[in-house]
Amino acid sequence: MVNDQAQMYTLEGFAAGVLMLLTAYLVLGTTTVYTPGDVHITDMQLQQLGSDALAMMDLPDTEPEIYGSGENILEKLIVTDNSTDFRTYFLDNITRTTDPKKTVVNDIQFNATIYYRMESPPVNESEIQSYHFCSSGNDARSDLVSREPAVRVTRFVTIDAKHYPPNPKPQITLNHDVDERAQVVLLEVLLWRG
Amino acid sequence: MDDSAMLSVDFLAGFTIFILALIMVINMVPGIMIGLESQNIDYDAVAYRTGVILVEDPGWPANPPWELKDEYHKDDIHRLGLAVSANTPNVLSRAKINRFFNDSFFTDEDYGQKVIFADMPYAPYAYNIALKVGDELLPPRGDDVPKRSYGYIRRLVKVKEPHYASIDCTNLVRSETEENRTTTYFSVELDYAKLYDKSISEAYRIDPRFEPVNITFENFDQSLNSTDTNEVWLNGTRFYKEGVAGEIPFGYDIQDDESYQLILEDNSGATTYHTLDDHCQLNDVSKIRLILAPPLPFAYETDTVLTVKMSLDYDFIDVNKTKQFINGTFEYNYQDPDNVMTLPTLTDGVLEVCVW
Repeated sequence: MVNDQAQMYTLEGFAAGVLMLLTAYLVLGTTTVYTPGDVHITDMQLQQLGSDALAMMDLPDTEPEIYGSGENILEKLIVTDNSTDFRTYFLDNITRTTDPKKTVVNDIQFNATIYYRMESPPVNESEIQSYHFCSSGNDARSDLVSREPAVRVTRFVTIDAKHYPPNPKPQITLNHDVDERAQVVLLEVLLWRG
Repeated sequence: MDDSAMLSVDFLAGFTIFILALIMVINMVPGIMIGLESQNIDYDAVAYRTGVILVEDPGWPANPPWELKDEYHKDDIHRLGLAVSANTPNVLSRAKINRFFNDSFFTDEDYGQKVIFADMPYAPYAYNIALKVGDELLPPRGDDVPKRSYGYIRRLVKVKEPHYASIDCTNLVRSETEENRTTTYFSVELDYAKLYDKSISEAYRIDPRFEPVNITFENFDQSLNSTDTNEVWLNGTRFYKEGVAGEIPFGYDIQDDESYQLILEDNSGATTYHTLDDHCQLNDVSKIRLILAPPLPFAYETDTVLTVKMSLDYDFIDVNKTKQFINGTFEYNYQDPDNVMTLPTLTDGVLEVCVW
């Protein structure tokens, strides 16, 4: 017996297939995948800039061993707990340019934290401690909310309080309970465009 | 007869269409990634790479460094890094900077091939390289920065400034004689083994093999006893090397700024240039400046002891007076009891690279 059922099924299948194909083609053809295409570039630039700024601050202008006056400004600012001057030096470095027109965005915010190791920490506390060192704004906590995605740069800084005569103790010890010995601390700076 | 065969045809048609659809979708997948590509990424990457080469790399050749190549050997230069050494990233050499930003030495093509590495003829890059040292903005290389977008990198640097000795002749050791005419010698000794001290970072190290040696004798006329000195002459300058008999063979009679400069300056500030062989009257000379450009002759080894010896002829007036003249040896060194050396110092700077 011959009827038209098979033709019906074939046409329905064919129509459904064409519909599926068209739909897939249209959906994929019209969808734009929005990606933050250049964000990683600006992140890289900011990270490089911050890293350079810390490295340059950690490099004395004259040979310390020969002149005896080769001052490591980064070490000095940390030992003397001078966040005001750190803010000035750091901002001066990261905003330096040959021509202000070349720099699209030069409004950079930052927040710096210092991590250090205590030889005899209080009971139930970690050897690794930290304190907030400096931020671009006046209120540290206000910088920590509602900010743009930040990049992180770090530098191990060798500090020796003996280079900056303590009276009676180095400021870093008085203010933050950091041991007086020569040591290496980790300076972490979060940077973001303001 | 039933209709089961008809079902197989349905299946075949549906399956074929499904496979076709799958093939089309798979073919389209690379296409949907096009949206992720960005023209700026290429240029930013080129700018970053150029910045790294300039700031962290001493260039090639590194020993002897590329900045010592003259016009005729420019093709031997492969890469134009500005760093003092690979161990001192972000510390730039003043000699390399002077050569790199020299208007007449490199062409646009050289910059393209040796620092931008735009060696693909179908993809030439336009660029702008600018360096500011302290408040001094050096003339940028390349084209003006366009108003449209471009690849960009900014690097913070320090520039190693040259070392020099500034010797006040009135403080020099003086000797006495009873002769009316006398020849004295004043020497500057360069002991490479002491200078090439590895405990000192290359950022602060004096390396006369690759850096100019600059010696200035100040207040020479004031060191003379004017009432008793008839004439005083510089009677030639010679190089001597420890372990080598006699003076080093050198073009003492050829004036060549690429090798040395001997400059005499009188009280009015007027300067004259001389060869090392010249006989120059020094009665009214206030400054004697000797600049030795690297590489110094026969002085490539790190254990060289090189002496620069200046010969002075004094002619005194009064035979009955005790005559005074200067002589002695000055050591060009880090240890500086007389406080005449200015050792290398670092100056803040910023380098920006734009590529489009």
